[in-house]
Amino acid sequence: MRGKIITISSGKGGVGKTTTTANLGLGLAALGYRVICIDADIGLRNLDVILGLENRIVYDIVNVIEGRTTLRRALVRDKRFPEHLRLLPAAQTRNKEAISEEDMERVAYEAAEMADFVLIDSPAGIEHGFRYAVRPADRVLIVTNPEVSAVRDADRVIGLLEAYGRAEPSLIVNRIKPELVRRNEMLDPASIVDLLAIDLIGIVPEDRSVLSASNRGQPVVLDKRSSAGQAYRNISRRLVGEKVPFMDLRGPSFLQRLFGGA
Amino acid sequence: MKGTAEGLRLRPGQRPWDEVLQALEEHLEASRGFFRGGKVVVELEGRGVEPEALEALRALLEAHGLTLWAVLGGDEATARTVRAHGIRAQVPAEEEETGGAALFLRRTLRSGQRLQFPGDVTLVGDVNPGAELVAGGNVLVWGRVRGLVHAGAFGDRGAMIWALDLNPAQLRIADLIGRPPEQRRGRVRPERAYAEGDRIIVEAWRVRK
Repeated sequence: MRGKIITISSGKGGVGKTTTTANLGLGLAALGYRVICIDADIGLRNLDVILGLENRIVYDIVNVIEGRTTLRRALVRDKRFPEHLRLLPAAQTRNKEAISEEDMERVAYEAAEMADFVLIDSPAGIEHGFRYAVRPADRVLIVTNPEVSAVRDADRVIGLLEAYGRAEPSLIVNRIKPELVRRNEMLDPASIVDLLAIDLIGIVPEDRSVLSASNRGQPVVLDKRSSAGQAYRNISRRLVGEKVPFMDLRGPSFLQRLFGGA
Repeated sequence: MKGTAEGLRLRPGQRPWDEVLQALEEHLEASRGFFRGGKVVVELEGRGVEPEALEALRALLEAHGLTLWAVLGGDEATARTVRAHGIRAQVPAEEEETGGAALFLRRTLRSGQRLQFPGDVTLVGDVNPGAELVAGGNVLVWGRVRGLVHAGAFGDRGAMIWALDLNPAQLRIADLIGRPPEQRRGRVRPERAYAEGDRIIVEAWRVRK
């Protein structure tokens, strides 16, 4: 059976698309699923660094598309879950024009034959790179931050996905600081969901360990003590269809507000 | 020249046609495609119109995306000329009254999306920040307005805007532009906006009993 293709997108850059892709890839692998992560950000290769796999790369996605190697040979095995997680790296020395929407679709479908989940890390923006990244997707996850500009860009991307006739996307609100939300200094997840009017699949709290974990190539999902790691583990389980309650980030009032309470 | 829900209404008076056309052209140039899709009604008020002037008028309007829809108020000979060019010389009263065109939509306008319609628009959904809704006539939003809404876009200051939650980046009625106060007032309630003098007034939208 063909695996499910999930594209992680946002519109705005810097909201945590790549971090999310890395953590969900590892999270799903840790649950025992076979996962292939595709770094679609040609020219700005990052996913390999965050996964800590940079020094294992031999081939990249453009090599596969140009027929210089096979997909199977280009895939880099993860050092923690070699049987479950593999990465198709972006090309660092090329640009987005090197691949077409059809190319991406072909590679993603082939990858889906070899895995339960294919996660595509979309480039920022709404141009060609975004379009080829969402083209093969069965499902799109939109990552946003609790910032007005990021939410606006997420709304734009959702509108474009609707215009392409894609399935309705799901939302991940990243880098929530509960204490700032409590003091009304930060957009709260409930009002973001209210505006964007799409399904919420995860809220990831701001957590200092995310940055250091990414820098070390050891994504936070592997850290049992990290709250962001817990959030990513929860999202991974929701992706496979489990019902996981949302984390209690700020006492009962937070959840009440999120689910249409006061 | 007057904006209507669907386009423009021209009353050339007794001015020579080439002068009328020139003034019209300047107006359309300045509007940069604003009237695209609109219909034009010319009221002759008794004066005649030569076939050449009629064709020149039609060509000018079409070049700006407008349709010469009706030429009213000429004598019988003029009306024959008008009809011979495939243009209405008479419009049923109720059609003129309502304009006819209206759009009903169930969707949310998202950032970067623009809806433009030469008539009245009813939207069941939200107008999100960064979205634009532009109508020649009235606008009713059964939802939240957080982006830009422009009613009476052809210049009809009589157009109105209604919304369940009117908290726009900007409101426009005809040539008037209004911005909401920086501080959001009180609780959310249905509101309507209309032009009074040179200002846009926003007030509670109540159904009178």
